[in-house]
Parts: sequence; structure tokens; C-alpha cells
Amino acid sequence: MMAISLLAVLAAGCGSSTGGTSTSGTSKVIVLIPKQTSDPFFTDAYNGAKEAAAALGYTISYVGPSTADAAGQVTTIENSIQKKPAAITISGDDPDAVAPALKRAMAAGIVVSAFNADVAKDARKFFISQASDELIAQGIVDTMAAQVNDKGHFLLVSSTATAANQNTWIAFMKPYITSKHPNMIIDQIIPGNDDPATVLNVVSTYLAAHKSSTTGVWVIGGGMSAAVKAEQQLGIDPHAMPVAGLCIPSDVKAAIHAGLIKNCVLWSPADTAYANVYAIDAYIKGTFPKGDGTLAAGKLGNLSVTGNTVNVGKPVTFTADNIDQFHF
Amino acid sequence: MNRLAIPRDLARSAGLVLLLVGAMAVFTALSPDFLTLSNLLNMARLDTENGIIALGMAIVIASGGIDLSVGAILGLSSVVLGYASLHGVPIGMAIALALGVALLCGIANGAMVVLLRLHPLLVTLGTLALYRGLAQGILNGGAFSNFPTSFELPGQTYIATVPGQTIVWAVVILAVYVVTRMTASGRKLVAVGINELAARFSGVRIGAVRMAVYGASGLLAGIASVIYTSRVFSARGDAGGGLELLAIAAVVVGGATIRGGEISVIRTTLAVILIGVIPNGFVLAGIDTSWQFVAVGLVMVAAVAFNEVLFRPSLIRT
Repeated sequence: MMAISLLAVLAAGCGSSTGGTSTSGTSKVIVLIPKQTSDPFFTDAYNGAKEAAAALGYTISYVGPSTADAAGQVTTIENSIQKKPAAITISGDDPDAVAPALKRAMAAGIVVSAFNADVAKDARKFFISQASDELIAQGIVDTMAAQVNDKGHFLLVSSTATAANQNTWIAFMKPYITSKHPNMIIDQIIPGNDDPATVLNVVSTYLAAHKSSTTGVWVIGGGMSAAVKAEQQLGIDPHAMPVAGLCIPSDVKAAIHAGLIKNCVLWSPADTAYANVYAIDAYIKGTFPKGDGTLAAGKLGNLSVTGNTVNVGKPVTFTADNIDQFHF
Repeated sequence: MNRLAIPRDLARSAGLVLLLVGAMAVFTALSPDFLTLSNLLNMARLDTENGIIALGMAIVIASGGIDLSVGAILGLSSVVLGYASLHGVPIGMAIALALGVALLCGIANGAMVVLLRLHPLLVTLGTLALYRGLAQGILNGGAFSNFPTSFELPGQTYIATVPGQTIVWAVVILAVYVVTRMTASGRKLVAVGINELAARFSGVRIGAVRMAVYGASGLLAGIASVIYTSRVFSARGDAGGGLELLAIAAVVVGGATIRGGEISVIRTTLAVILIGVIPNGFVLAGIDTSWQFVAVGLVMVAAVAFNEVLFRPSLIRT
């Protein structure tokens, strides 16, 4: 009570000159809440959102916890509601913990969307999916196939055995290999725990025993550059035994410029956030598709919308020519 | 405690209020949405859990101890609530169970400090890991969120526009104030903090005081946990991570010496509000939140400097 009365006294004391009410309904602010503000992945997303916002007449307020923390996201949402923005969009750290606060935002008339990592379905209007899992899986397979004449035996290093997205990609990879690249065979799948030291360890151990029978190494969790290092330590030329798969640009930048990795695949956080702003604008203007349909998203063209999910579509293939444009 | 005590206390409170008014003036100038009744109540709502835990810490520090396990107790208590609810325990009983576990955790801390004569820093550093580990182990790193809607009561209700939990906070403030300032227990607490030996010879049962102190800290963390779990409607093993540092910061910014022997309920509460104003103001003003720790740090250093340096008796004489 003391706290409340103190705040009330302060409010009465200083509030008279400022009025304290702000316009609602006409706000052009979009609050973008990353998992953590200090992650370059989300800084790229912020840049993509700013580009679309400039084209459509919005401003982006980029706020959130500095370390990945669901409670910090909840506090950020609750505080953002006070700003009465046009929209709040979030990459959810925990789909359920942020839900009550997001529902409160929706009740206050704020458009709520999720991108990159979805939240509880009843706590947002729509979700921006960064790239379809099927197309990601095909990208992983095709980039390797082109380097090995469409045949051979492969080691696949995943992130962790339980990671849902990894298992989804592997589940899409297998039938795609069987139907389109029948001469490519996955010999073994080993978790690399998204950790360069673990990737180095498991790839070294595996190749020490299977050096002569292995054609290439797929890495679809974090730490691709460590697989290249493992080959080099065993005296294997990475050009002769290609490493391909999913990568974080900052991890592989040096290896790609040195020609040790030809290319690798991921999605673009900037494109995801760019599409997000177009989707928010469409939602506010009432042109967001009610059922399945398409969304016009500026430079990205028409994106498909299914079940309140906007599919940004194709993954990005990083090569020596474009990798310097990505900063995460 | 000495002739300077009263003016120094007043000056410290005035210093904190000045810092708070200063910070609020800055954010008011930066955002029209800051100084609104709705936002002030929103801040009070979000500060509640920190505020309740900080009062527990104030009691522990006054006794000359420290409790690093409060954030872990919040996490464990939250997980117990979720786990019980998951297994069909009615929500009222699940809440009682969570509070009971929190109290037990606190008493276990106290027992180790008293019976094994271990330093509270070592005990609670150990139980921080122990309670946090239990919390994460029980839900196996996952989260539970299928609570019945009736569980919205502790953390998501409003009475008119006043958040329900802020009323709980006010009651806790009042209760801690009355117990520490107006009862013999409160005087014993401070006596133990000032000089344990002297307190012992004055007939204070040191062990009982310490057990009560850590038990209270645990129970307050449990109350905060129920509110927190209801507010985010999700029980997670990592809930409350780092809260112990925030609570210690609030007590120290509030001007209590870390060596024990004094307690200020109001200044600790003011410090919680001051520390809570910054993330709110940053979001409303649209300032890059990466910088908010800089502001928190500056405010804390300013407050501590104000308390410790400006009012050091030797400085006042010159």
C-alpha cells in the first residue's frame, strides 16, 4: 500500500503537466521482441523489419531481455502494452509462459504475431515461419548432391537427439533422398550437441574408423566449421570429402572464403522479420487472408498463408558471394 | 544506534526518493506513456515478486546472514505447484504444497547454518544448486502450463484497476514492518545482526532467531513463486534465476549494511521500485534495452555511494 500510495503521490505531483494519455488506434509503432537483444541473429531480424517498416510507414521498437529468458520477455510485453503500439511481435522463448501477457495485449487491441519461434496459438494472430521444413531438408540434400556426383556414403551430425526441428528435417531428408538421390546413403547419424568441441570430437572419432568409406559429412546442427577442422586434423582434404548442411554464417564465414566449404544452407532472419511487418500491415488493413491464401510481401513477392502461418518459403544458400551480407 | 542514526536514515530515504523522482522525470520526458496510472500500476504488478523476495533478504541480511537460494526456491516451489497440478492435486492444495516446500527449503537452510555452524554464504550457495537442480530435474527441463483457470487468481486478477498481487505485496510490507519494528522478535533479529555474542548473553536464543529468519525468507520466496507462476501461467525449473542478486541489490541500495544489524522495509521497497522503473522506462522510451544494465548499474552505484560515502560520520564532521 505504501508503494502504491507513493506512486500515486508521484503521479499526482508530476503528472499534471504531461497529461499522461496517448493516442490509441493510430499508433505506427511495432514492438519487436527477440529471444535476446544481444544475439546477432536477431539484430539481422531487426534490420529486416526496419527495411519493411520504412517502406510501409511504421517504426520498430526493438526491446527485450539481454539474455534468453521467458520471464524477461513477459516483463517486456507487459511494459510494451503501456505504450499502446500497433503491434507486438515476438520470437517466443517459451510458448506458454508469454501467452497470458500476449493475450492481455490482444485484449488491449494490439495486433500480436510470432516469428522464428511460435507461441501458443491462441496467444497470437499469426506466425511467420522462417522457411518450410521440407524445403530446408531438400536444400541440405541438394547442396551436397551437387558436390559428390549424386552418390556415396555420408555421416550426418545432428544437434541433439531430441531436438524436434532436427528430427523433422531428417524425416523430410530420408524420403527425398530415396526418391531423388537413391545412390546417396546416410551411414550413421550422430548428435553434435550444437557444440563445436563435440562436433570436432564425434567427426574425428567417426572418420578415424571410416575414412575410406565416407564420401561427405552433413552437419545440420551448430558447429559446421569444426567438422572441417576434424577432417584437416586427420589429413583429409575438405575438397575431396565435402562438408555441407545447415550453418550459422559467422561460424563458416572463414571456411567458405577459404574454399573449404563450398556452400551451406539456413534461413534469413531478416527476410522473416521483413515478411512479418508486411503481414502486420495487412492484418491492420484487413487484407490478411482469412483462410488459406497469399500475402503480398514487398521484395519477397507473394507468400503462401496456411492456417494463420505465413511461409517465408525457401531457405537461403550461403556462398562466398553472399555470406558477408549476413551478420549472425 | 548512534546520534547520527535518525538524520542519516531520513537522508537515506530522501536520497532514494530523489533518485526515483529523477529517474521518473527522465522517463516522463522521454515517453508520454510512462507517467500514467495504468503504467504505474503495471510497474507495481511486475515489481511484486521482487519486492516480496527482497523483504525476505532484508530480514536475512539484518540478522548478519545472506540467502543466495531464494531464486532457486522460487523455481522449485513453482515446479512443485506445476507437478502437483499435473498429477490432479486440486489447485488450492497444490498452492499450499508449494508454500510448504518453500518454507521447508528455508528451514533447511537455517538448520544447516545453526546446527552445522556453517557460513550462510556456503550453505545457500550449495542449496541454490540443490534446489535449482531439483526444480529442473522434476520437470525434466520442460514446462507445465495446463493450470485450471481458477489459478489466475494469485497473479492475474485486478480489483478495479489495482493488480491483486500488489495488494498482497502491500500486506507483506506491512507485516514485515510491524514484526521487525514493533515486536520483540524484530529487536532480537537486529540484536543478532549487530553482535551475536552480546545477543546471546542478553538471553536471545540465537538458533531460534536464525531458523525463523531463513524460514521466513523461504516462505516469502514461496509466496512470490505462487504469484509468479500464476502471472506467467507456466511452471518452469529455471524460474527466478538470478533473483537472489536483485534482492541483495535492493537491500543494499536501500542502505542496509551488508554486515547486518539494520533493516529498512520502506527503503528496500523503494529500491525495488527504483530498480524496476528502468526496464519499464527503456521499453516505453524505445531505448535499446541492451543498455539498460548500464542504467541499473549507474543508479545502484549512485545509491550506494550516496548511502555509504556521503553519510560516513568522518565526512560529515569535515
